[in-house]
Amino acid sequence: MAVALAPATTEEIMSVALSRQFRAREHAFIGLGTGDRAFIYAVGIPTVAAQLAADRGVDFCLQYGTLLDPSITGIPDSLGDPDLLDWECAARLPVERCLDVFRRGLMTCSFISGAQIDKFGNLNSVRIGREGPPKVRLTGPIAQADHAVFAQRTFVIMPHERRVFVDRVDFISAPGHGDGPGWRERQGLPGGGPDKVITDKAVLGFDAVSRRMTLDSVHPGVTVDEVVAATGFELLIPAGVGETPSPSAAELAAIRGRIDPTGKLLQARIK
Amino acid sequence: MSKVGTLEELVDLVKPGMSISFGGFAHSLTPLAFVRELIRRDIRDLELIGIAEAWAADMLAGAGSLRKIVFSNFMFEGFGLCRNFSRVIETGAVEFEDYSHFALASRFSAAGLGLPFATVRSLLGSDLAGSDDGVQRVRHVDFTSPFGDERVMLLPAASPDVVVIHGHRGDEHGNVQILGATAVIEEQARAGKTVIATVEQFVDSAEIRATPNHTVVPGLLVSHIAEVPYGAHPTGMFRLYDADYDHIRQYAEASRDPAAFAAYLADVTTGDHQDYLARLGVRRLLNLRVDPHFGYHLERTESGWRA
Repeated sequence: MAVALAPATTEEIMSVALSRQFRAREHAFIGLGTGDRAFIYAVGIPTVAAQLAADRGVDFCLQYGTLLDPSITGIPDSLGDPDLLDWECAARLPVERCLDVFRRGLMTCSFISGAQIDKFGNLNSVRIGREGPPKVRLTGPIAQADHAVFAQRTFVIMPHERRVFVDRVDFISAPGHGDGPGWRERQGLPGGGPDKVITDKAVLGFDAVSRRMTLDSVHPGVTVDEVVAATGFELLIPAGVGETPSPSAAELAAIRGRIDPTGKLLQARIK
Repeated sequence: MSKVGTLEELVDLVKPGMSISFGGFAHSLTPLAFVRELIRRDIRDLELIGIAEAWAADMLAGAGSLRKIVFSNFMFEGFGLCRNFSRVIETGAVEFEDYSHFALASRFSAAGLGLPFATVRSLLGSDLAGSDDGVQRVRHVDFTSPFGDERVMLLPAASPDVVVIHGHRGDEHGNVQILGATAVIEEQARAGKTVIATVEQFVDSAEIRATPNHTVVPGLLVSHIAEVPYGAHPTGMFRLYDADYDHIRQYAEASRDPAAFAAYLADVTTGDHQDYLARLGVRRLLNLRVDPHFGYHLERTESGWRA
């Protein structure tokens, strides 16, 4: 007898939406980092999405920082040094070598986030405030500039808030589509740039011609007006924007029963 | 001349105005006994070059030791931003240059290869190299490949005056063995003009020679070495001791406020490293020890030790 499942959480909806973007024979890079919401967005959601895609038979290889092709279900209880070093994987690459696959163009997709994003998908993880000393000094570019330059496509996972979705980022620390059509080519960037933006309210993409951010779908229970109100720039809204598909019962059962039974990934219950 | 010295003798090699880089990875492997001694001596005006070694950066920033920070990212894993580091940049007290992870690692690699510059593409298109307002943020040359038409960027090699690493075992020849994640320590050591190592334990060279696969930084590159047990505390050393999370929480809390952080620093630099360890106490240090086989902490329960 089937037990009624609790409704999908926002993080589950985001994971399922992201998983539908994966294609066969991809090599995807997930950065490793801890810390509540940042961890859920940067590590948790991409990991669950990857496992859901693998369940559907999508054949691809994941790299977590320096760990090549680790067993996703074996994700350790903490991302501290000892546990990471015991996580079963095909290879553990030196830090300065782990991005080689990017530079060779072999990395098909990666997942990035930041404090601000603009209508062309440029990201900022460096500073709030444009002139002089910053109002808030953030963590820094990390390897996100490397991802943004080299990955064939990046997926941006962000909280959907007006102060995050801004008309112009205070600092471009990871380039998106710059100022529009042809910009990446003129800059000599080998990768394709941001493909989809997955937020807690919607799935967004980029217009093929103008390279501006477009609304693809709104999550169940969210209205287009709410998304517009939470966006600090003019969003392109095609006629008849649909709803992000709800996770199926099978997907929810897989997430809760097998992929993330203890909430390590989607509730950041990791040390 | 012997490479072996005391921690104090090794710290003597660092002079105001020098550029310096420290090993470290998240909450592990950081030569913090060395950093505390630098702060105790009040050696200032340093240029820190670091990829992501947050502990050394944040402590030295909070102590007012830094003139400039050249880096990729600093965050306290699990605790958010590095408050002292953010503060010295927000107040304009310290100059800085932002790089992507790979761009800065490439600058170290170029120095390690004895080349004057690195060729990278990682900074194309962002504001990291410079932006439309004409502000050049990092020294670079835009360059088109003479063998094709790809755009690249040339960045100067980075050769810190001093590179300080902390390892598990070492010998009188300066060979350093490190277990576990080594982050970019090899690139840093190859790049440094002078490489200083502190290690948890000195062992006989025969022991090093019997286990050469663990020698991450060979003595060829190391000028000076000292035995400094618990030299990474409160960060951890894989298979020896865990990061001291109680201490890390205290640090993170203190770092939110300059006065509270000054009090923290005064406390941890009151005496030398032996005093520091004595005040932590034997019980606490022993409780941080990990099972040498499993590599992680064992908790004591009523029925014995439990992984």
